[in-house]
Amino acid sequence: MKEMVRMVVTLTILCVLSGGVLSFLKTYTAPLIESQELNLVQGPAIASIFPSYTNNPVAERKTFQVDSTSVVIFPIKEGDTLTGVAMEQTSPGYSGALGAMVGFAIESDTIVGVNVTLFKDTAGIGSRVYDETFRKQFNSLQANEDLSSVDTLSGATVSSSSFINSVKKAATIYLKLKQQMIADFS
Amino acid sequence: MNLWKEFSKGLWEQLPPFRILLGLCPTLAVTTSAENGLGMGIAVIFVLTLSNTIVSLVRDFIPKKVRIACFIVIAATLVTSVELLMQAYTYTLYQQLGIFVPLIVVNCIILGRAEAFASKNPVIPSFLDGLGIGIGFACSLVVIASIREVLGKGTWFGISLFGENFEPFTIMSEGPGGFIVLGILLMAMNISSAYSIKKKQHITDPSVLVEKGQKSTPLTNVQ
Repeated sequence: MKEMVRMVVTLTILCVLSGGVLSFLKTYTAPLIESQELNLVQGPAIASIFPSYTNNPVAERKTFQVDSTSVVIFPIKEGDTLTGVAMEQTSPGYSGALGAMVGFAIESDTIVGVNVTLFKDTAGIGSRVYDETFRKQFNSLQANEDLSSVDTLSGATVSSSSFINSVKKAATIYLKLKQQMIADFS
Repeated sequence: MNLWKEFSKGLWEQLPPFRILLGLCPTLAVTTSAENGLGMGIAVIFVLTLSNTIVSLVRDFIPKKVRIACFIVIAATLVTSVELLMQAYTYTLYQQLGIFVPLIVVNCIILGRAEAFASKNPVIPSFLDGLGIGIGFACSLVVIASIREVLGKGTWFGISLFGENFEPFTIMSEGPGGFIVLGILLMAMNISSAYSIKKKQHITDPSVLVEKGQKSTPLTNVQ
């Protein structure tokens, strides 16, 4: 009996200590990790979508509310005029969340381009969503289209439909927020 | 207790993964480039040294029956900390190593050293044992990864070695290349150790000499 109590107590103390250490580290590193992701993942993804802009989209990002969820929007400006916006959306992929950065042109309501930001699926199969030939299918589609013209990748249906789904989500949010974004960013 | 011996045994005598054949999953998976191998090696050195030290510190408080669970909790906490710190400070390395970092938890070397050494020895020898085995493991990873990167990509730590006309030996940077390189290195190490054991026997074991009727021959004649 005594040994039993000792076992339970030891394990409990150990687990409590470990939980404490981890939650401290998690809160301490959260802002650092976020800034690393902004600089090394989202920033480059935006730069690859838009051919030219004069502002710093990462530094000028703002959070908006849509249907009680918050979305971070990156503004793309040419001088003082807002020419486009970019946002990241994720959907469940084959083995974890798959993220898409989608850029929109304000004037024409079209998709400028898309890029992959978060990827955990199979390398060599699902990773073909990174291919230019797949991604450029989205270019200059209207934001209110149903994206049925986009072909999924054979053999990687889950990854590519998840990616299309993310783009669709971004387009819906874009249409809902358009007026508010124009007002807020200029 | 000879402290230097505790440290140095990980560098040759018990060199992982060649001598103790533990921790093969990261060995095969991340050694596609020398940089990745080094990153994984450093992460393992960190986790192994700390887990050995902590296990050795608490070894008298842990009841025998739950020791494995306790060791795993300690290792898991350290690995998650490493993962968070890597994300915060070396994000590009984290992107490369990705899913292999959490796998350090189940890296048998960590549990193996905790069970076989740290739970039975004082703190300083345990620390040195972890450091030695960790450095040995990191060196092995860099060696395997260098061979694979040089042959598979024609580069070493990202520096191009052979110029534009090099035709890469692609299989070396894919999965099978890991098995091939590991197998060849293991063979080489086994041959070399078999040879050195044989040599030693010839010198020290008198029966060998008697058998060959060479008892009085000078040692220099032994091949």
